[in-house]
Amino acid sequence: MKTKIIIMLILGLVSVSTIQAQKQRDDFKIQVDGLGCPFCAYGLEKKFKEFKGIKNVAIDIETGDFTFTFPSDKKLTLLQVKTQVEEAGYTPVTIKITRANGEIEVSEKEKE
Amino acid sequence: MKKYVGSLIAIMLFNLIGLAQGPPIILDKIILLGSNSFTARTLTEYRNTERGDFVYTPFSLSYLPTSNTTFTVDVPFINYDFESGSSGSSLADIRLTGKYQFYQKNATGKTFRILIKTEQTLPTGESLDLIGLSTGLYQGYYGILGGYESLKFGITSELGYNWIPDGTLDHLRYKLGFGLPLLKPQFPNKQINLYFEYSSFWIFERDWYQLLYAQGIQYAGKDYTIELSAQIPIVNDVDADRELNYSLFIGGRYTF
Repeated sequence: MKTKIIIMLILGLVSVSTIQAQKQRDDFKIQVDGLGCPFCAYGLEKKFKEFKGIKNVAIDIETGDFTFTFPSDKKLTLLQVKTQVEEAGYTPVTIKITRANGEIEVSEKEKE
Repeated sequence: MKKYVGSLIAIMLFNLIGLAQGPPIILDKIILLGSNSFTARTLTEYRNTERGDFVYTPFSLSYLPTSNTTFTVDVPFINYDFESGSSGSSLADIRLTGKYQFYQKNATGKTFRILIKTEQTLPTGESLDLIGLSTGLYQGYYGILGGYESLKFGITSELGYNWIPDGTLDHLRYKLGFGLPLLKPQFPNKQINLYFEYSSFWIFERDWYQLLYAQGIQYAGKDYTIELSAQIPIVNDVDADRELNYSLFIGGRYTF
């Protein structure tokens, strides 16, 4: 019985910390123009990997949707994201950031 | 003369209606990778001509300091075996290339870019009079490169002038490349592309003109490509003992 309680407590702690860790990441969704070939999309991914801590990178080549998560304590801004897309050689059309605390930030075009 | 101009106009018109996709094998590519990235590449050519057989192996390293500028150094080696009897191996002409993209228009899944390009060929090779491989002469090339790429098709073309101080190998160069992706676009990338590439050279002083066609295939992974191509002449208006029979290319590139 005692062992069961300890195991359940450990499992509970692990799940709480996992949820906590997930919550501590901001979600980014960017609509990128100019991804003309799949090989070239690697340039975009590589450029964003300069941001240490980036995870869950996904690029839908056909729609230009580029998503990733980033530690919320590093407060990656809309401007930093826009600049990084441009330095990769592409055009950021819209940028949407869903912060870990639920706040949503969008670029000007996204608001339109 | 009319024939040369006719051929050039024909492929330029073809340019307007052609469809293609991807980073070309023989042609230069428009800039599509971000700043602060490197690409290492080799594309070995086996060239069979009436004058002899040649194997040309360049080792290239490109660096993009910004998203619209790239610098490349090519260090090539050549193995030659002339019909006349002489043969050997040596360093070929080292080439320094710079490209600057001055126009870019992007849309979803497509991009159009125009660049200026210069190549400075250093006289590091033996004087073998192998144009584009080993001449032992300083050469300066100045051209314009344009490309449209989309997930369904794209075009790459290049027009430029190669200048040599004594004028003996001055020539006009026009290239046009088409490609065709065989698989659905996906990320991380896994793609097989077919390439159809035309290259033409008009060497004024010798009054030589060549129009070459290359058929290639490329496997592109996430950050590398492996490519094969075979090139044959369509127009081979050069001295009979200098005619190209065919060239074979094999190589790959890795981006980091």
